[in-house]
Amino acid sequence: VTTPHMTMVSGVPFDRFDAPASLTELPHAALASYSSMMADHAAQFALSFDRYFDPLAPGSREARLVQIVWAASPARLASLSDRDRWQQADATRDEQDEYCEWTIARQPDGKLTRVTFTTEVPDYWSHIADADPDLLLDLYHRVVSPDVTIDDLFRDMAYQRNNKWNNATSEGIAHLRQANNTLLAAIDLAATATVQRVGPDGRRIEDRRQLVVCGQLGDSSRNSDPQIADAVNDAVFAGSAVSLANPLGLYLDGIQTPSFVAPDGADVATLWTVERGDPGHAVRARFEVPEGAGYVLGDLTVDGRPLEFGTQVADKVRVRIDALLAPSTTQLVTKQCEALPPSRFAPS
Amino acid sequence: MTAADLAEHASPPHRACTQLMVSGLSDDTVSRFALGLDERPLLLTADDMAAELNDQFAVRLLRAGIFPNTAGEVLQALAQVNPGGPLSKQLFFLLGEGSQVPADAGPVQRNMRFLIMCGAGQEGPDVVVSSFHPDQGMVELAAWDAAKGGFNFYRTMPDSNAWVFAGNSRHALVPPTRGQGPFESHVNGNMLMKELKKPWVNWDSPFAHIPASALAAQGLDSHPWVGRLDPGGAYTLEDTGIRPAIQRWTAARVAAIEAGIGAGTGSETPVRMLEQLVSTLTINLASSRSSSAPRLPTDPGLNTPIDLPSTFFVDADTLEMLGLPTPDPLGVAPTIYNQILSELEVRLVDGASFEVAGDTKFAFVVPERSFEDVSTLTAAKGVLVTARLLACLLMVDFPNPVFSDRRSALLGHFEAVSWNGSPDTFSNAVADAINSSPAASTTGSPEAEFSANWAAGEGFVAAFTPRLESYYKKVAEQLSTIDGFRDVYRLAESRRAHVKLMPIFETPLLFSVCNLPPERLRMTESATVEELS
Repeated sequence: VTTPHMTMVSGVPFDRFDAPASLTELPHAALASYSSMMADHAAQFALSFDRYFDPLAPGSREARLVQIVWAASPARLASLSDRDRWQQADATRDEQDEYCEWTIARQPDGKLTRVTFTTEVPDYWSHIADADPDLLLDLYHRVVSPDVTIDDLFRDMAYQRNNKWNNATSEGIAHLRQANNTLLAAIDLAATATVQRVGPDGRRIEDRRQLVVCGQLGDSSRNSDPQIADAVNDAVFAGSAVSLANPLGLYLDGIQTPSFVAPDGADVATLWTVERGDPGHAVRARFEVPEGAGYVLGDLTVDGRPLEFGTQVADKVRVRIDALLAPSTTQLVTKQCEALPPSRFAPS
Repeated sequence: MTAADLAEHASPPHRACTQLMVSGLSDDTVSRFALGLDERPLLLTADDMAAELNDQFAVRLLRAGIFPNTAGEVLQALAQVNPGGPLSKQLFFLLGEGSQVPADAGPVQRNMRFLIMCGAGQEGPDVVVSSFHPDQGMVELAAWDAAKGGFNFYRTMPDSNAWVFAGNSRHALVPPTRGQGPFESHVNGNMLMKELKKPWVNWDSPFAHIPASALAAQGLDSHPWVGRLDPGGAYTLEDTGIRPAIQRWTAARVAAIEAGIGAGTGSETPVRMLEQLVSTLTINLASSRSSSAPRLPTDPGLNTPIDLPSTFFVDADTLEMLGLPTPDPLGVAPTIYNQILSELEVRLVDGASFEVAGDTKFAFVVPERSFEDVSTLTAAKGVLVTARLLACLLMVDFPNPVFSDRRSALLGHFEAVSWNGSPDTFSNAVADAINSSPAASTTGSPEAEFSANWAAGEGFVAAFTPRLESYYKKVAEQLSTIDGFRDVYRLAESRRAHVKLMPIFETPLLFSVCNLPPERLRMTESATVEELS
């Protein structure tokens, strides 16, 4: 038996980048060009960061999959009271910055009826727009509204991510649109976080807030950025090189439902329906009571409180990115963080 | 305040879990050894087990003649008897009070251990295993008993594969087993997770994963369970495991009382639940979401306040359940916080050689009313007791949500009130018992305070709201000054001292320490801190 001259993940060869969630809607040529674009990104980041590896680069390596998860509701709003936080995050998708966005539907009396979540990356949808505008329109018809026109989506031949069917306050949702929620941003964060940061005393920074601020690794007040940065940085320190797994994407890792209570005692987990992707790689899901149940989402409670806001559901939704770790003996790259005071863990 | 002073307020003498360790039990047997009830292990026959042990661990393993000896064997056996089923879904979690200390800080007692949850459905896990290693023979296990409700608590023995059944949650509620053995720490028979709110200082979680260097320092980097840790860590465990498990037991308790089981016979009554309101039998730990590490000058949030848990200042979770106002988010300026840390020489120690300056990883770890109390009171409201009674009891000494001598003094007045199936009748009887006590006519007594609260009638929300809002405003003012926050820190230390006498205090690293002398303190309604006489 000869070892394949390529990256293996749990015995499976890594030989291409698929569409997010391995969605199959792209025509062959469009999928090939998307795969090629992702491969270029991986190669470029591997060139720039010694401990970020290109899984398609020649060489035998055995990589291990590591899941990094966080909560979908924006941690940036955590200093507000719960009610203010829920209202604010529901009001505009500009606040939904944890690589997960949602839109809500209510019945005329204001009761919540549905929350639809997406982690679909705009990078992928922009590629569809470039490669196959008809497919783009068809997708909008399927997931947003049959009333969408091609003119709604393009301006001066350019796809508008923030079009009226997918903007901050629209009722529909096609894909992520908050400025920080892009796949490229996540890859960049993972690659940049491989660099070790040290204080003036030469000691490694382990506090994640300090790490994120010093390394400019996103926003330290988010759930996602510090979690990705910390996990990657620590894995590298422990002797790994890092990359991101195929299919590249941000995923809905599921919903934690035990704290929800339905009026009829139904299993609330059944209200979560994956609409795009599969349960292991969900990129779009809705939380909704099926017709005929005699009640709607707003009749549930969560943590003992009435379910009134989509963000209450987002508090229980997990978002995930899949990283790959491969053993590495490449020298650690370190950068000094001048502004840091001496570590309290330094010997006196 | 001395340790002896505090001990007066602690639990009565008890027989600890360590007494369950008995040698000489025969292999492949199960014995009941419920401390307080049994003088020695009682060998259980097949019929005994069928009558007493109806959890998934007993039914599928022990009663089927399968006696695993180690934690790994338990998990493997559960998966084998339920292939593809709930018991084969096993989630692994890691915690340790010194787990967040980096390896290069030197030797430290990290107290790392694993918790494994098997069969987590909508109502929580069927089986929970606590162990350090799959090969470890010292296994503690709790399993939900669907037949009689409550968790059955088990442990293995040091020199055989015999198992000891140490009691069911129901044993926790009544003498002679109350406070004995596992119910020393599982006081009300519940699952324990000290921190039931993010950011979980001592757990591996998305807010703070245990660094690889700390794992390596403990020789855990190649531990077979480390690679299986749930990526959500405490975030998963709390939401899908411990909270639902607590609510499951709470529902069973309420249902049993409603069904009249043991009514007025010394078994559980709603009085036991009200004891949870007025006394502090159990606590959870809460902390700031902010790291205690210094912020960089380039940090965009350099001067953003360090948030403080509102449940330190008031029983926010229970107030909210009763429709009463809770504080706006409270915080302290980083400059004030850091100045107090320095002035009070706040530091972490492990009881051995480890000592570093500064606070716990997340700042300001303090006790709060336990989730099991909140869950119990939520379930009891309107079903067993009225919201008015809960609110009027809670508003006695409300600035001290835990360890309130004033509130717990009320218990003696209503311990004998019986339950007749009516929340109104029962609640009025409790109120009458307090209001008719001689102390109720003594100005300033807790009984008089309760009577004044009770006089608000059904309009208690309107009556209590201005008091609470006025208090919140004064707390915020206190937190804006160095003197005010120093007093708040003193109060925190006073409450931590209570926790240090509880069985859940297993390591000094649970809290930071400082140079303050022991004090018994309370918060007043004007948000000043005063010594208890």
